[in-house]
Amino acid sequence: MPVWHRETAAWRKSGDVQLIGITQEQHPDRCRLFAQWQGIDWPILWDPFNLTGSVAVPFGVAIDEHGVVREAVRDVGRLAETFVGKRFDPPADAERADLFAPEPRGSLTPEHFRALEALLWKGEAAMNDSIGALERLAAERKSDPALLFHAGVARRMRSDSTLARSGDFQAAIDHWAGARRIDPNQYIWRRRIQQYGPRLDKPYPFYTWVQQAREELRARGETPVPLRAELTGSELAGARRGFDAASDGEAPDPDGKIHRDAEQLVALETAVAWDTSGKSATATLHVTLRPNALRDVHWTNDVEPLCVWIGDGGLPEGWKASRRLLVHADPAAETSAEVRHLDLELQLPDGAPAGRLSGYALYYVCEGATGECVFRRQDFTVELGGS
Amino acid sequence: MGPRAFRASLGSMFAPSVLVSAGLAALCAAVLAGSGSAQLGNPWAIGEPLPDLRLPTIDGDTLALSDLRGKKVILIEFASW
Repeated sequence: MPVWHRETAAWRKSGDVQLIGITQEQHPDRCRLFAQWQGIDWPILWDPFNLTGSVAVPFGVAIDEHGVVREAVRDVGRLAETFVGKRFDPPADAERADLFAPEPRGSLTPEHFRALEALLWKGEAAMNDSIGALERLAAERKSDPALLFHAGVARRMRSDSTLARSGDFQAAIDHWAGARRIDPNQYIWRRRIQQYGPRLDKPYPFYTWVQQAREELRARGETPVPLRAELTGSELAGARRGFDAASDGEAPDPDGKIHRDAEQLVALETAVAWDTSGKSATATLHVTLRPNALRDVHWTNDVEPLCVWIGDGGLPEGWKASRRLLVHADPAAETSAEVRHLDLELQLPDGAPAGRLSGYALYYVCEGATGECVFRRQDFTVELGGS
Repeated sequence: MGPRAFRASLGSMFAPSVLVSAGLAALCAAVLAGSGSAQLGNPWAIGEPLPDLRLPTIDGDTLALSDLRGKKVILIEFASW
């Protein structure tokens, strides 16, 4: 994108050309951070549902003053000759075309449109109703992969919202995987799964630029755009050709003596994203922990950090884990109440892409500003049903 | 008045839901029907008017492609990764 920004600078300044971006990313604030870092001052539309129907990005088109698509842009510099300095005649059928409303010939019904539109413009106010509508429509029209993809995007939106429900993230991944099974050539959909999936399946690192961007912005005296959903390990990890298994390590509570979180001070949710290539039974296991806002629960950061132990009692036969003990990098503040995320990768033996994994989280939390602070354990079990 | 792709009047005459629905219907229908996408690999078809599209911007504003009528536009679909 920096190339497009740079190459079109003079045209934009003179008013000869308007540059418009469209990003299909799930999280718009990441693109905002990117734009801030790169000094991008042209509008970028947010299209998380991929309503443009693109199958892969990046992709550019040059559109003349009459609204006609003139060329697919493969070399921005070449546009000086083929597009910018050229005058285009209006299309012969412009008047006729103008009289025709676009004809909705696809399977996108008015109800489907309304749900997407509400999610884009009303956000949380419409989230539950829209998700309900999309999932009902998806259940009715099982062969429509776009509906499944849209339902997945909506579920992940809710997962990042204050309305988050346990299971939203896994439902998002499952919807996306369903869409990809129907249409494996849709790379926008595939990338959405890979973003949260294992490194063996990554075509490239997704957001490794974020740290550099933040450092450079701070050095410039700017405050980086905050990210609502912090980057997960899999989004920051580079691609890998082999699986790096960890040694067993030591369980932090081998005898199970730490008191369980019976008060549900923290909600723990897991989600599994499988390799989309089908070459190996490899998956990323996401563990998300949310302090109970209704009880004003806060993390206590000045003691031992939050940790998650995977494979309580040992990993199933033949399974490998990239890590067994996950330790959260707690913030410097004494207390905080953010959603926390940890992840690791699993590799299951060939022919056995299913099974059950157990684990637990250990955390210090306080209830209320002056409430009691406690150290608690929460056990969990994950069913890995295969991709 | 410009071609279908730049229906400025639609933006002011119709409720947003109608505009979005119609525009998205055309776009998505093009994909589902395979028209346009066969040429470019993406739904924008060379020589054809651009279907209108109204979306939020990453900064929280709203922009319709029809707002840009009369201007030459370079439209780039991308991801920040």
